[in-house]
Amino acid sequence: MKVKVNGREIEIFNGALVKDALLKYSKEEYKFIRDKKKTVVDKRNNKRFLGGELSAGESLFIKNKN
Amino acid sequence: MKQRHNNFSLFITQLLIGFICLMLSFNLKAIQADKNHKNIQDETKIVIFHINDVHSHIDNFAKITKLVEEERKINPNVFLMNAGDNFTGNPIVDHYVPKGEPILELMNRLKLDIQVIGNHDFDYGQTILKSFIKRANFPIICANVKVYGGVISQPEPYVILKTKKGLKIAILGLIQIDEDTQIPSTLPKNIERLVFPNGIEVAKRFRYLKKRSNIFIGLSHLGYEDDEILAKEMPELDIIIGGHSHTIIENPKETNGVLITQAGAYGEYLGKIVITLKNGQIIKKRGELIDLNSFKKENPEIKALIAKYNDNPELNQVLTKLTKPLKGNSELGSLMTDAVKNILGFDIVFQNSGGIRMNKLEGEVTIKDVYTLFPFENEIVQFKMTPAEIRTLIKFDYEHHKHTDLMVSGIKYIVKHTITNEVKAIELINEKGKFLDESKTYNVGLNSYVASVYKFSHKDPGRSLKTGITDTIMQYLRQKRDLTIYSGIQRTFEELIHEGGLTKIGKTEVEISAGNDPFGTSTTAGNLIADAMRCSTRVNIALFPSRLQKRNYKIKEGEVIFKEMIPKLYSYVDKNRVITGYMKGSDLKQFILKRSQFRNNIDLQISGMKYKIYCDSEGKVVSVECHLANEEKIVDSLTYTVAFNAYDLNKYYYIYNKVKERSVSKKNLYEILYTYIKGVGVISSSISEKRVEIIRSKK
Repeated sequence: MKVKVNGREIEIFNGALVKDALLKYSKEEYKFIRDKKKTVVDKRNNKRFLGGELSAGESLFIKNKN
Repeated sequence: MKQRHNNFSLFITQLLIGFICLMLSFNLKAIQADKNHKNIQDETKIVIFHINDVHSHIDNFAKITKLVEEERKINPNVFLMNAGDNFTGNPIVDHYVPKGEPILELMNRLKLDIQVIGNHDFDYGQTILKSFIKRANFPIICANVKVYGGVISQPEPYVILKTKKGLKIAILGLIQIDEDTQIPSTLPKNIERLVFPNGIEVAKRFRYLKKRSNIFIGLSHLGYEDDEILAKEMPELDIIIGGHSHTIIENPKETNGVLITQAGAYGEYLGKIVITLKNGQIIKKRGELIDLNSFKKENPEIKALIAKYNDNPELNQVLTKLTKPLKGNSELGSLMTDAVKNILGFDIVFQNSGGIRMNKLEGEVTIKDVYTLFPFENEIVQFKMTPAEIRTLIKFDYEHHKHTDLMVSGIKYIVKHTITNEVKAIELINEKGKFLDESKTYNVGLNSYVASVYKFSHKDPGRSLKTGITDTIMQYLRQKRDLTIYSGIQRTFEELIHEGGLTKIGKTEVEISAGNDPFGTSTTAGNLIADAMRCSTRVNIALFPSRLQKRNYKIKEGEVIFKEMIPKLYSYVDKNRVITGYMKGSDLKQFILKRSQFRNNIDLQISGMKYKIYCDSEGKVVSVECHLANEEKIVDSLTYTVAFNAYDLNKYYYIYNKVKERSVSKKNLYEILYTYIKGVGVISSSISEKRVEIIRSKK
């Protein structure tokens, strides 16, 4: 399935979680989020847990923590 | 007389006025009382708390109980709803006997009002879910499942709850369906004889519930994206309480007039919706999330119950007893991949060595050991792959790690490469010793980390099987198979292709390699590198990180050493310069202890010194004993000259400043080793010396 991370299209296996898409996007960015230095949000600016399920066409955005 | 008459008249008038005032007062009170009565009848505040995707995390349940209890004391109209996925995510609950029991007990104690089935609620199988549903003191609903002879009974699609004054809340339950497989994300065997129609389409058949209720709620395990679609297609819903996507909706908003909310996951948030109704109609609805990590009050009884559950002795349950210890990535990786292959029926399974977090399994293997061996929550992903596609995976792995890092089941593979690590060919050999059929597609299993991070060709997009590796390893170990087959097993091979002229620089009397257990003992490669560093920099002690040794590469006993072989011995980082300096004995010991504790094993290969690390009965490193090579003890107050790998010293900020008068070597590690080997000529058996040792107490 295809999802977008920071506007970049990522092709990932079906049933992937938020963390899988982030790992595919960038291992470094994933580590920042895992270590709570950054957060990941959806298109409505709602925060997402790394273990959250993804659906095709979703968009994720990586944000610096305030 | 006139005066008396006047007085009498005044008295009568006053009496009348008084009477009128009294009557008026009674009337006013009656009117007020009537108005108050109407207010109670007409305007009602309903509070709905909600949780979702608890995934066996129970630690915040004492806080949830406290919050709900407090609200119930002041409001008779309080409900608690659960949007699914109770299971999978915490061994304390997932390995309780019976599985998931703590969640059931806690939810019953919480007086949960309703739950929808989530995809992970099938993870323990239908028999356990059936028992959970039977013993739950609350209804568990789902509209888009049809039971055709499955173990569970047909769940109700919806339930109508009532307030004490008769207001009706209709709740419709919906579960996520994977687009690819048309089933919820769980192992297919867990949902045999169940059919799952599309949740949004099914929901539309229940529009009539709007007319039969004062509040119509979708209790959805569809995920936030689908909740939005549901809201757009079904404005009859007043509220969607969601789950599945683990979305933290701090300020729930309305889509098409439908309030959509979701409380993250793992019981870290409690959702609260306040609905005000007048004459049975919603006049206001708003939602919020309560961050339970910042909330401090707890119900003491539930807290004690959670503490009891957290002390789960089941984790010490013995799965098998090994007659021979299993050491190193090759043996442990073969066991892990065989477990996934056999339990889930794959042709081939790969596992990255970085995910193998123990160096040795021995004696009785417990559930806790399996979680230590593989502490990640990675799921297994299935791909249908051709041999050509499999080669792209192995090639990426080899080029990335400069050695064969992927452990495997179902095949053996040989990477043929040049001295500069250019992959020239990869041979894939099946369990019968024959090459894989190039025209065939194989059923390949990868963990989700490899599936996400490794770059490889695959026409099949792949799918997560929604099951973890630890569970399959446990099932495999419980089968009481002969595990001695793993002793000394090797399924990945590297073959150096000599191209062009090579430069001979020496010879070795012993095999030079990182061995099977680079973190479990001294290795010949580690000793050689540390010796070369010490000799080149003329220090007392040289340290080289175990993890920078290259696994799966060896220069055989009696073999000629070419200079082109040198880079095969270590990983190339930060040009591998060497930093030298002075260090106090106490700081050196502290550093070795810290690194050993971090690795819980041997993190540093060494020259000029020997050390032993000691573990407690739990297997944790607790102390270190250091001697110089001549057996003299390292003295805390004395200063020693030391040499470190530059990359690592820069990384270990806590020790960096303890090394005084630092200087960086002009030669890099390649040049240091080249000069050393050329100078020595023949590498003797002295590099076989055991310089580091780990002493583990018996359990």
